[in-house]
Amino acid sequence: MNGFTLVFSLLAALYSWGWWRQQKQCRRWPLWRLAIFCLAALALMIVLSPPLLQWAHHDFRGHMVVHLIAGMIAPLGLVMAAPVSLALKNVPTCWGQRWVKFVSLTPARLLSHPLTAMVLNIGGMYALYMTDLYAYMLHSPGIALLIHWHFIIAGCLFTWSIAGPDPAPRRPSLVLRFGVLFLSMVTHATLAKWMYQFHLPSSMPIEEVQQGAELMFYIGELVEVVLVYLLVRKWVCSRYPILENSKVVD
Amino acid sequence: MKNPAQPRIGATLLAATLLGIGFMAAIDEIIFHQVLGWHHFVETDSSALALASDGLLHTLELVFLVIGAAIMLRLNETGERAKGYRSAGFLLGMGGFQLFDGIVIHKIFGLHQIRYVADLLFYDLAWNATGLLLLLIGYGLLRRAKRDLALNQQ
Repeated sequence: MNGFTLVFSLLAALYSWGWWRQQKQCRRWPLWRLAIFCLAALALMIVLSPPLLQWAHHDFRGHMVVHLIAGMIAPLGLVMAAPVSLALKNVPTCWGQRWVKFVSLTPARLLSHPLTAMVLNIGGMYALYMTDLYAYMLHSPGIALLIHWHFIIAGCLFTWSIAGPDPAPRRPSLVLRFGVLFLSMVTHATLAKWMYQFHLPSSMPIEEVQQGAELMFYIGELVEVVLVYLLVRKWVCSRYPILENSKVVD
Repeated sequence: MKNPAQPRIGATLLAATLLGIGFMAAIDEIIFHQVLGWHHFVETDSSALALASDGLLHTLELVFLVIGAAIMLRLNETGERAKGYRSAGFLLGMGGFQLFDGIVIHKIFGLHQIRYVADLLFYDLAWNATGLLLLLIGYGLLRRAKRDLALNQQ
């Protein structure tokens, strides 16, 4: 039991409670959203449990597995479950206006801009693996904790700003979001290749770094492909709508 | 459904071409860059740049594949996929990319050669002939799809 377990089990319980309240009022909320939210929370609790964190501390491959799940796969589940939309359904309508006001504030809009999110997300990785920060992290539990939270939050922010289903007025255009996603895919793949080739971070044994970089390249790409599909799907559905002559809606 | 949806020829061709380009680029990238290690996308002195260029090509090819797949799946969903145009676009994309790679990227821009050996002619000929063949088959399929469409509409 650690802080991560507490936070994510609480979040999963809250989400389930919201889902259950909707069910009771016969206002359906998709079961798959509940499933991906709980699975993502469970995955976070598992990879951030003490035994796995120990493994991640000693072994670069372990670090990469934890990083990929906590920073890329789990955020996808958390964000695609649309937790804000569910929360807003469960509270008085005035909260909806407050939420819109909050995300329309300039600082919030700047922070949730895809470019900011990309710099925080990918920039954080470049800083961690290409400088001495990695070695420093291994000696300081405080810094390590901070970096884990950074990966989780930056991952969620990035996923949300690119393809998040939650309501956000004046979201940047699909083209810009797509461009940012593309750029981050290129920089992510390139970083993985550089780490493989140039042995970064150099404080770890080379075989571990190379295997870790391979994991980063292939698994990272898989998650990014899912993001690309979700984003393109939004565009394609508006571009090629289903014609009305197949079903009659009154 | 009384009147079936009008097929979208342009969209079907676009999606299939994107899939074809992505597929051919994936073959190039996986077999020649990664498995055989014959060349990088941009051959320079700096291996960091060469690796970055490989990353770029790889991402482009993935994105093409995903966009092509997304459009094609949607067209299947709405029932607007034009019959026969899928395979035509796929082969046109494959051949077009192969030829573009062989002529523009290898020869005009000289970003990289197929393999770093003394006698390149054989490799270049084989590369571009493959591209041309695929392109021609694609063109034949396109003509057949057009003819079938015209016959159906009569």
